[in-house]
Amino acid sequence: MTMRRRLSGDTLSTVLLFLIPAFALYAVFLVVPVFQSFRYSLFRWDGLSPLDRFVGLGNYKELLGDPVFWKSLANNSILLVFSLITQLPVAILLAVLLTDKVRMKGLFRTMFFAPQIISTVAAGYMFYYIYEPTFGILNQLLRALNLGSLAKGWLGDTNLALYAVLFVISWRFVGFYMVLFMASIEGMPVEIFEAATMDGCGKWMIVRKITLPMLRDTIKTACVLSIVGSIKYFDLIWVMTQGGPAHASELIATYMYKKTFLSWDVGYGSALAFTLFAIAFVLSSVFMKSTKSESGGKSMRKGRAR
Amino acid sequence: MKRFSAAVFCLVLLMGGAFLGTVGAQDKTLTVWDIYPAGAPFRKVLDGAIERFKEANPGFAVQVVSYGDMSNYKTKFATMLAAGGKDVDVFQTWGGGQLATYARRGLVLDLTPAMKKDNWQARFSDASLEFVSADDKVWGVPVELANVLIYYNKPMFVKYGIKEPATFDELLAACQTLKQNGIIPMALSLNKAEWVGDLYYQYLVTRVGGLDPFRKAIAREPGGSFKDPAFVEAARLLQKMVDTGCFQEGFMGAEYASMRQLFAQEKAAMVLMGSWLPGQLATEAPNFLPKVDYFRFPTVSGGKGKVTEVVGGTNAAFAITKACKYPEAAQALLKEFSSEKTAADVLGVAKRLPAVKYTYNPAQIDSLTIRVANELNNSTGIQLYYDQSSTPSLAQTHLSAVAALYAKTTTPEKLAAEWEAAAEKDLK
Repeated sequence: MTMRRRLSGDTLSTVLLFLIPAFALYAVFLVVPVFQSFRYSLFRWDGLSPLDRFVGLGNYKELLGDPVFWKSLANNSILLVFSLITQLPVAILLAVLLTDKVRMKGLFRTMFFAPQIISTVAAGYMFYYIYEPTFGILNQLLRALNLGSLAKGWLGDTNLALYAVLFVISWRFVGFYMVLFMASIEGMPVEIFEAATMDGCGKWMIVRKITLPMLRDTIKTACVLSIVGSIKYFDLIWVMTQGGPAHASELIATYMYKKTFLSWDVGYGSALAFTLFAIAFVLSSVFMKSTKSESGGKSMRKGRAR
Repeated sequence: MKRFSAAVFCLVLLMGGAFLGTVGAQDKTLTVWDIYPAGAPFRKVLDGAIERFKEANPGFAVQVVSYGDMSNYKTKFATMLAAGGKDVDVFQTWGGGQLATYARRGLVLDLTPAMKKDNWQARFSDASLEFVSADDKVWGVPVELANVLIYYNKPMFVKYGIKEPATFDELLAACQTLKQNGIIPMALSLNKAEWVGDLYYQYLVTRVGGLDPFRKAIAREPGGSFKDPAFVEAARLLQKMVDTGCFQEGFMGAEYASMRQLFAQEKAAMVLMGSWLPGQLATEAPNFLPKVDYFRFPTVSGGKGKVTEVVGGTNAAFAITKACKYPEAAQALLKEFSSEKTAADVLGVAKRLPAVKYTYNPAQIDSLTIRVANELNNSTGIQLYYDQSSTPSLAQTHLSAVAALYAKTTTPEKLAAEWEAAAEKDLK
């Protein structure tokens, strides 16, 4: 409210002018395609012939009876839970440790952030040569340790393929969240920590009672990023297994890509795309709503009250 | 005023990208799309043909866009076609169901009149033109053919006293002998390369039931069905190979490159692969290549298929888009692609099999390439790769079902039933 009152007509038009390019891009590449893909999803269409076989919600009906869709949905849920319970806690731990007085801080920061800088495809191939069944490093190591019975065809095992890739995904993203948390911790007022230390707070107590509550908003952001990221995830799965073997590591996004660009069932692919959008939209808004009720500023006020 | 011009500047920047694309292409340029990256032997073959075309047709430039990888190429190409196909004149195709699909949508230039003129069609073998024909019309020009054979390490076979297996049971016995000696019998890769696993299945079906079951089933002829016993029996034999330990541990997780590595590093004795393999090995492992020989996929006892029936297809064919502005010139380019000189280069430079009739100088071509070429010339029937003969959607369903067969997450009966159900839905 205060913002709007302060804006004169002139500044308002400036603001609008500067918003136009961003909004135009957003509309052309995001808003319009969402509606367009919903429209396509109502047709049986191969992308080449005229759009004339209207099937109504037929594609969605088929989707509900498609075991591969349910398998992908389950895999996405596993990815989501796995990401939340591994990436975030590890990232917080690293951020807390690396913002403290540690020797060779810079080296460690670079080390943990490096996986995020490596291109996805390069990371995928690097790990492929670790997982490779015959001469891959992992199996060779296991055999050298006389644990040959544990050697597996990691990316080709229907029970393990998904987790083999999940590990690499977490390895890549921990660094990203770590930087996010570090930035937030370093932005916290030093006085609070000094005061706490003077009051005789131990390190653990400071983390629990000060750092974590003050990180609350950042954690929330990280959760939303992680949830949305997991639902629409595609890259490493595509590079490492393409959803195989036999759909064992299939995600909705990879299945959508296959249906649209390999099978040329563009209508069905669009139905998958729209479903994906709906799930991501609903989940992230529910998450935002449910955490909003305990207003973001609360922890800050508590902090100040002390 | 300043603000206004800033906004205009932003908008121009935004729209600039859209206009840039339209002024790039010059007049009288033929754009060719293929998958051969710089340095690949086949690139040299095609570039040579393009040079000869340019000499004979002054005023024409040829722009080559190569993608280096088949699945990447197919995706980009289909997207481009869906957008009108104006960016490309000549494109690589593998013939079969996919080319027929594009042709039926009116996106491909009909080459039948050109083939009849000057008897161009007489340059090709009957089988090779069949791969690029649909609805009694010719839509493409095949440049290279390939047949799939079992390549093996000859000194290794000698060392363990193994003869070239003539029957499926002999093949299984050979696998057991090799395994007992700590050698991987056959290298296989299924990670992101389901088509490699499908080659075994296609051969087993062909050996069990001959060429008829697939031909009838895919054409939806009366009595044709993917539930035919041949498809079930072949799936059973395939799982038997897995149980016998014919393939390396964890083959499901290996990629195509790993498979060639296992063979070239002499960790594996055999590999089932197309006739492009020696050409690949010539650059990847030239010292190993002299040890390589081949045998035909063995027969199955009681099977209807003959040992001279091969799985194969066109590996490089080229077609012209309907949107091409210079169809005459494009056809002249394709004529050069099928010339005597190009064929000689396909055989001599790329060590691959030309799709046209050709003569060769035995002193210049290695004997393995010649024997493999003769194997194809003397074949009594060719089974075009299943994924190329099917529609894209049916091919995907089939490939992942075969992967499930190897992983034992499906049964032979289920594979056949699901395949038939998909075909009924897709081929109506």
